[in-house]
Amino acid sequence: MRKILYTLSEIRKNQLRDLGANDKAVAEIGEKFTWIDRQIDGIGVQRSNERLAEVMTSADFTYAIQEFVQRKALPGYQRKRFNFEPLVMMDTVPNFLPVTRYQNRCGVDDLEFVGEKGQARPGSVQDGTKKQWQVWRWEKQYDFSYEALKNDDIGYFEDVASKMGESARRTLEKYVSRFYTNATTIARLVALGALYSTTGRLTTARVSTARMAYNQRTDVCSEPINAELVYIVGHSGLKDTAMQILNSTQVAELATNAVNVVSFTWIEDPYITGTAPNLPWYAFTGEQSGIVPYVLARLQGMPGPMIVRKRSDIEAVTSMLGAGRPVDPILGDFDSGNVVLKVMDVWGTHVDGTNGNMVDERGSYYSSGTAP
Amino acid sequence: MPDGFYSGTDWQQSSGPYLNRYWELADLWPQGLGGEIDGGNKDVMAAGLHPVLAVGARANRPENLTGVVVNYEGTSRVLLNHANGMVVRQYVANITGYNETTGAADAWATNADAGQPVYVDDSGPLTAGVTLSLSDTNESGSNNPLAGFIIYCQDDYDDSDFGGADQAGGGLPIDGLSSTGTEEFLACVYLSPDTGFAT
Repeated sequence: MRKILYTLSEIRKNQLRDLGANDKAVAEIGEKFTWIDRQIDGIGVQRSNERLAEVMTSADFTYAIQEFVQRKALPGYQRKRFNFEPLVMMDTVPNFLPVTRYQNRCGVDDLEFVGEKGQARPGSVQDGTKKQWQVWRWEKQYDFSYEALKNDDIGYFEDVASKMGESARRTLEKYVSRFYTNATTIARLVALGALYSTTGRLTTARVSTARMAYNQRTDVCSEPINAELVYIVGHSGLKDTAMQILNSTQVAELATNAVNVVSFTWIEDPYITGTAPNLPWYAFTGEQSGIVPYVLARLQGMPGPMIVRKRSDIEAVTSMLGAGRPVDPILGDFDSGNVVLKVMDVWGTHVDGTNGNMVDERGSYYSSGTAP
Repeated sequence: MPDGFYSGTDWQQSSGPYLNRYWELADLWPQGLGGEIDGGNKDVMAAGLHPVLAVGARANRPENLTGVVVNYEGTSRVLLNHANGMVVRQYVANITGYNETTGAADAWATNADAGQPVYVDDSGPLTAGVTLSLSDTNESGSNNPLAGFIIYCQDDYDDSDFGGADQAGGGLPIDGLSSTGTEEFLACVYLSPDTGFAT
């Protein structure tokens, strides 16, 4: 402010000089602006009997300078994302009732030799494999007082809505992760034997073993199917191991010059738990094989999470029976001033007492990662 | 164990119901310096603390209204929720009985199960941040007002049938509590602030 006044004063002085004013008139400008300055400042000309009433220093503004002026919210952490989409078949269901899906997991019979004038024997068609899944609601609600929201002068709650959306995605990611990390699914894969599970840590050779296991997959009629290992999904601590395996030209664990023929797409699942070096990993097939290892069902018309707020039941009026008008949502509800938010989403999957969440075990391969 | 009343932002384990009423801080017990029946200190009420407390003269016990502190601004006024069915997370002591001569706890539950009654207990053996126990009497042999019943917390339910996170299910019963000494545990309490039971 003082700088502005000084600048104005100098401008006016120059103007007067340009107009040819004498030195006395120019000097008066300085005095007049000094007077304005003092009036704004509240400090008059000191008289001999006046005492300085108050001197304020930085130390007097502990809160204003150290807390208030310098207080601000920093951006939160960046969340790690789990890109699970390639691992599941997305399905949409019309309502909350279980839906039924049938899959023909077999061809028809082989042909047979028929002799001259012979008649072909009748063939048979395999019954369909029936699987069911349904969706459920997943929600969380948050209740903020008017005071808390109003007192939030640093915008701490401003990103709560986006955090709620993130939490919905995170919950869904954990949900998908549990498709294959739940105890029932793991027990089933282990029980199916060496073509479906191992205990070894992630190495080039073990990826090959998993690939060979996939190569031996058969359909319900024991006919070979084109089940290909496409994805390796693992604990976050295995990322470098996976990258080394992918980028090595030779098999890293072998002293010989064996060429590394392993290829896969690495997907990091941050929700797989484990303690190094015993880190679990999984091998999954891709959708081109026709195998549906897992399904993520969503409700028709609800492709993603929704954040909703309880509508305020108050309106502003100027007379008891006059027309009301809407008020700022921060005022909350009539009784308590609460602002209530809810994040909601709808999803589901196949749940089975034996297979866990596996729709088809042929698309999964599990390793506990415990054996060196 | 806890010297301060429960203050976590997850103290509310149900979204309602609410039946809020203001009381003067002096009406509430056990809280504050000298808040225990034997003159011992409880935690001093402060903003952000949410203990379950009893209302009114201790001489009325067990017929005292109970409720959970919803809001306290540091003044003499305290807002309590008295709604039947509100679920709150609280510290609870595993004490089930006292030696009335010595005032020491002499019986303890080794587990706390769903539906188990929980009382507002102003006895000395409870640490400063704990107002609830499993004992229907205090160290002086006076009846404790009923606060509510142990119930599952939000994340205690087995939701594996829906592909949910809790595969093992059941945070209840809370097992492994000491059979020979006082131990405090976090539990969810279904508030049922009736006036206890007449003697």
